[in-house]
Amino acid sequence: MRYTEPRNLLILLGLICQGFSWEVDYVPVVYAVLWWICLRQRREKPLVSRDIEALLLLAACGTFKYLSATWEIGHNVMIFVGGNSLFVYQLVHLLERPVPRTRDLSVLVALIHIGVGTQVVFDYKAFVILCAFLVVGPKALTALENERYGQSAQSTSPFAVRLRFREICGLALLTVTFFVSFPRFNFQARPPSQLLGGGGRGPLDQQMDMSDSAGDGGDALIFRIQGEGISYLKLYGLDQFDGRAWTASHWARKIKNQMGPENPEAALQRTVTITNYTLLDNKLPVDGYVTTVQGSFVSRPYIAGDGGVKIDFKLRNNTSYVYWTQPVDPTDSLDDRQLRRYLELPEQSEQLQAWLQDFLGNDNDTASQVGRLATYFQSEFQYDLGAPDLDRLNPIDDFMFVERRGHCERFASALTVLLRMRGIPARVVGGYIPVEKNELGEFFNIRSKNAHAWTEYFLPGQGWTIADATPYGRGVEDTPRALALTLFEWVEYTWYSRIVEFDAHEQRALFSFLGSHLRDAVSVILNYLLVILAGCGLIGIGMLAWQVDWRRLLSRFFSREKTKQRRKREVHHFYDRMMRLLARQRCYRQPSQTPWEFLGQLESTQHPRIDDIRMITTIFCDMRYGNRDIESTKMIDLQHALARIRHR
Amino acid sequence: MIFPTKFGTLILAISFCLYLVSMQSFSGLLFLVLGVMFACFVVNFFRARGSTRHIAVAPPGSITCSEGDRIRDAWTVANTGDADIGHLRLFGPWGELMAIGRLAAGEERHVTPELTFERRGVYPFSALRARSTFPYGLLQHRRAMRFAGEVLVFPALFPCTPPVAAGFEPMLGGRFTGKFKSQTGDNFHGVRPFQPRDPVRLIHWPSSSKGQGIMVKEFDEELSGRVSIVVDNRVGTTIDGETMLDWAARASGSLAFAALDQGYQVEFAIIGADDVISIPPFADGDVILEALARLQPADKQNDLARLPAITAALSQKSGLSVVLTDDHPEDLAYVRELTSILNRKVQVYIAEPAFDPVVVQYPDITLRRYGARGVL
Repeated sequence: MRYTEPRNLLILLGLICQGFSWEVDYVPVVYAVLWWICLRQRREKPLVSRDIEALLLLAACGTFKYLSATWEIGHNVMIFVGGNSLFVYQLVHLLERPVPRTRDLSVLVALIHIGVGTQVVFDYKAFVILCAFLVVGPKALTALENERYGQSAQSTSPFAVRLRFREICGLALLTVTFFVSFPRFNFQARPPSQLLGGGGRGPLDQQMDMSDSAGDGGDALIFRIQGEGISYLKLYGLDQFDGRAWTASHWARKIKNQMGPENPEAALQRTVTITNYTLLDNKLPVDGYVTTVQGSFVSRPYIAGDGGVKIDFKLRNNTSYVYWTQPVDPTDSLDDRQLRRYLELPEQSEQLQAWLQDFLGNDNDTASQVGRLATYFQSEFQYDLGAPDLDRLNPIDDFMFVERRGHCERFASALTVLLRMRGIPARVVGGYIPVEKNELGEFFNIRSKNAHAWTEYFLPGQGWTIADATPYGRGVEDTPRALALTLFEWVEYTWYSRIVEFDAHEQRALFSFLGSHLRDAVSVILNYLLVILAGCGLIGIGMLAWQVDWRRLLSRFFSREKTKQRRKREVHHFYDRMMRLLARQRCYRQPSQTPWEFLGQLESTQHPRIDDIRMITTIFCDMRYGNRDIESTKMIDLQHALARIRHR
Repeated sequence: MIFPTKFGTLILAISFCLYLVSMQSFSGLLFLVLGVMFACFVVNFFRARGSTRHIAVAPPGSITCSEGDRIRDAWTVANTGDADIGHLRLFGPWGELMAIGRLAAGEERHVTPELTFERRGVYPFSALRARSTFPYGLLQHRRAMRFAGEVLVFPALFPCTPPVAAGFEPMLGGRFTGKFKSQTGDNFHGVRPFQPRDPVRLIHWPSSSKGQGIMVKEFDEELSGRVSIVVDNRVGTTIDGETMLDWAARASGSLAFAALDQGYQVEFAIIGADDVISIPPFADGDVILEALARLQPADKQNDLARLPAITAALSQKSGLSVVLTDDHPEDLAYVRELTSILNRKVQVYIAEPAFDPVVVQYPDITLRRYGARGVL
């Protein structure tokens, strides 16, 4: 029974969360086993006195501090040392019978542990922990409060701690509301991870040897990117060629410019979520001309001389950033120094020069030359990841005339060399190509195998432009993925981007989005207010009509109608009788005369009962032609009037 | 009004600390943990409020108890809402009345409050306070419930020798046997020959069949006496927070009930009050207890002047017992003078601390002592 007590389950959840701070998967299991052992060995009396308990905690703090330094645990000292010391506290009190004070404190410590868990676990385990907390937490609080009432409560039936499904739903809804709407602030006083040696402008860490063969990059997911019209994603550019290998010069790594304060309206937005930072180090994969980068843990980004975006610190997993970019920058230009750098080339063989001259001839149009060369490579060469190594002394000629096959680096290198030979500034660029798209979330999964190299050449009035000479092989094609996998990736992406990394910026963006839509909705409502009111009115009438007893109403209406018809007949009868009486008194109405004309004729003859005749005629005309009803008292007056006319 | 409990305050403090941590955290998951706590607070707020609003308390018509005993009458507590309520505590002016763990929607329960009064008296109340922390114990909602009522605390009774009775009269069920015989009763005496006008139903057929003539049954005459008890309502001295008036109330109540148990008819009066309470034998004497519970000290300290008027209203045949709270010699003299005029037996009860052994003993007055919990 004690193992299923909500309070003990909450403590277990907290211990498991704290166990994750060790960054080793089996430690939470160990903590759970210790929890079980302590509950099993529970005693009636306290295990240690309060003084000994305090000493134990201090000793635990010291021990865990030493362990965190020795094993280089990456988490915050408070999370590791403080949390694990409280773990010792929990175990001590699990061994003894709970008293009110320790019951409350153990729940508070469990809450702290669960808070720690949210700082060290982010994947599906975090989701499971939070769901468990949503169920176990309220039950533990209820059980705690029950125990406070237990002895004096006037309750004859056991007070079972039950959490109904709708209560869980209500709690979940409130939790989500709080998560979305409670104000957030972000004050990161220090960067999240390690400062790079030399500030990121140190020794070269990227080069491309076109003579080497390449292997399959693997299926490891590196990052995800979402946006419209995503092009090739650049990591770095290499501008120096020694005849065999491409490297980045000193100028390529220097800061070209810092980010702008605001993104222009024409810029396209992309969102990148990094899942494996080891292959990225301090480089942010971007496409086009980046104008702005925003990210809570992307500190001080800058555009390097090679056109890539870099930061001075290493990235870390589960980090997201947003950047705005433009496909071209007409204002970009190259000064003399840059022009020399991007045209610099070792002397190439005469065979290559002759072939190039023969292939392009007198074509001086940059775009045309690039297009023809790229097309030539794509059609005449073969993409082969396992192609043998090239001649190290003259890899270009070996590639162009002998092997005629290879991986993307060889094609990029060859095209860049040929363009420089034609006086076109060009460089080799390394990065990733977006292929695998998740249709549900509209984002691309970028994996190791999507690494690619291509050429960029400078086109005045457009800026650096991509040229890809690689014929696409099987590895680059998008293979269809199972729906379940797609769904899983979408859920994972949404989890990280919308929940784990939901910060103050995202919250403001959400509110402005909702606000703008609300304003639009209000304006639509105002525009169509009449229609909406009419619709509501119709609905209301329909609902009322549904409620009305129509049979009864109709019967009442018809009875009224019958009464009216009967009165009409009676009035007709009175009028006819009056006409007969007048006829006896030698007052005849002509067939062509209307009742009013006949009345006028009688008025001219000054009939002694003209008032009565007028009254009868008026009532007759009202009923006959005006379809009006008369009161029942009028019928009596009509009778009296007739009687007076008769006895003239 | 809503207040956080101690535990709720601690949770708030921890939540605030976690919120501060979230400002430096790159994970938004901490807000989900805070959200769960927030949800618990919100649910607690509404359900605690609902608990106090939907609790209906109906105290019994009369709430009575004895000194040192719990209230015996059950209160009806009902949930008038559509949802469960619970973790309720009801407080009166004297402390906690009851604690209710949980009440289902529409459930009604009878609960006896956990309340004990040490002193007799009338304890009025005009409002009760309900507090609920349902269901998580984080917030406490308080609500005042308007109730008008009173708790009557009867004086504690103790076994004692009944007062001397007088004016024995035939009464069915009387405990005492008279020298005469009667046609009714519980104690069969014997048979006698039939006399004219004897009811036929009294014929004792077994005896009559023996041939000695018609015999009728006769029973012992049952007699019952009368006792009159007069209580002095002067406050007297105070010992350990109790006045002699309290002692007198206990003693007079005990005497009255002892007399009732003996089958006497009891007449009870309080000096200063106009009414005489007359209780037939074996009847419920709660009206005496109620009068004693409401017994208030007299305005004037030394005033037995109303004693003649009171004794005149009592039965002249009854045995008179006067319970005094003080032993002023002039009081005793006054009582003696009065009894000599009335020519009747009188027992005077004086409080133990007030009893002076050297007080003048009058031969026609029986002096007895009473203490806090006994008559000596």
